[in-house]
Amino acid sequence: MAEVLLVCDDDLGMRETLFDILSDAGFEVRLAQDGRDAVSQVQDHRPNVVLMDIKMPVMNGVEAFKAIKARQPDLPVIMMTAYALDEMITEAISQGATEIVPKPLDLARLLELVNGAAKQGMREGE
Amino acid sequence: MTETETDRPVISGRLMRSVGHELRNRLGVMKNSTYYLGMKLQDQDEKIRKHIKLFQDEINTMDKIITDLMDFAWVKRTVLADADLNAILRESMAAASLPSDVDVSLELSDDLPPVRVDVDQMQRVLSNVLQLAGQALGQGHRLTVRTRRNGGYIEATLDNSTSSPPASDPQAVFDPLQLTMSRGIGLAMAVSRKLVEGQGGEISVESGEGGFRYVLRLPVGGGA
Repeated sequence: MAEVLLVCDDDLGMRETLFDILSDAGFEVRLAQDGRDAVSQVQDHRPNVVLMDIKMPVMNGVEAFKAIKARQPDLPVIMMTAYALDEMITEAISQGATEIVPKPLDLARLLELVNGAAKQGMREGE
Repeated sequence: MTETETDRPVISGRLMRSVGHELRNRLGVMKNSTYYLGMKLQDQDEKIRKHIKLFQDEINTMDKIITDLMDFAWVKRTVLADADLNAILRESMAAASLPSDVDVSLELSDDLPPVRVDVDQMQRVLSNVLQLAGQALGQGHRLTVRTRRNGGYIEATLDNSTSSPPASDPQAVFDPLQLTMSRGIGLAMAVSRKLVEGQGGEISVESGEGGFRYVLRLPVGGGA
């Protein structure tokens, strides 16, 4: 069975392109459009990995990250940012984000990270 | 609230960060799309692959221009740590796209104390210096990279053997909007100086061994 990856980004183009790339890489990809949607989908679909933007409306990535970690402390969460928001990045690191990757994304590196995190997520879910 | 003259630089800085963020998101989508096309069309005609690669290279260039603009407009927090300058130099040289027919020589002192720098920022500075030092080099030219301790500083020098000056006044390469590189908007070296000085260091261009020498002086770390 394919590992479930939740991609959360408020940008439609980013969601659609990541859906195609990550689906082709063998993941079952779920999409969320803001932090609140991501928290809800983590409860409903129990993903193995979350890939989440930091700057989003409604609920930003760091707030969503904290809510997700409160429910599933071992779930690997990779954060993405196009914005050097020092204070938000520092907070994400201090809260235990698996990795923070800059946009535009280095896709080869991202696939390595996601595959590694998925294995970690599978082990911790056993 | 009325905008005053003193508010304007702050507002301009925020505006630039905001525009930079939005442009990076747009570039991010383009980069994802070209990556996907590259995967799907990898067995196609060589010209198709060449054009996808051109798209990807241009996206990377635009991202660098945005990064330079944002760094120029905004004082980034510097995260200082002790680091091995020789290792940073080796990594930067490996990542640099220097012409393959240039004779590159590394003469790195093996008993250097650590430097106190922001490693990410220093890699960006070295990438810019290597791009500038390397762009006029070709067959028969030489690039010599040296490190040594000089008082409270560790000095890295990059000597290139081309007699072409990087600008009519070599120090002017650090002025904003000096078009010294074939790509970009002339901020890379201005940003480099800002980053180096923000770490308590110095950067300069001097006459070198039959060409020009780029000199970086960085504070010794390790509590020395």
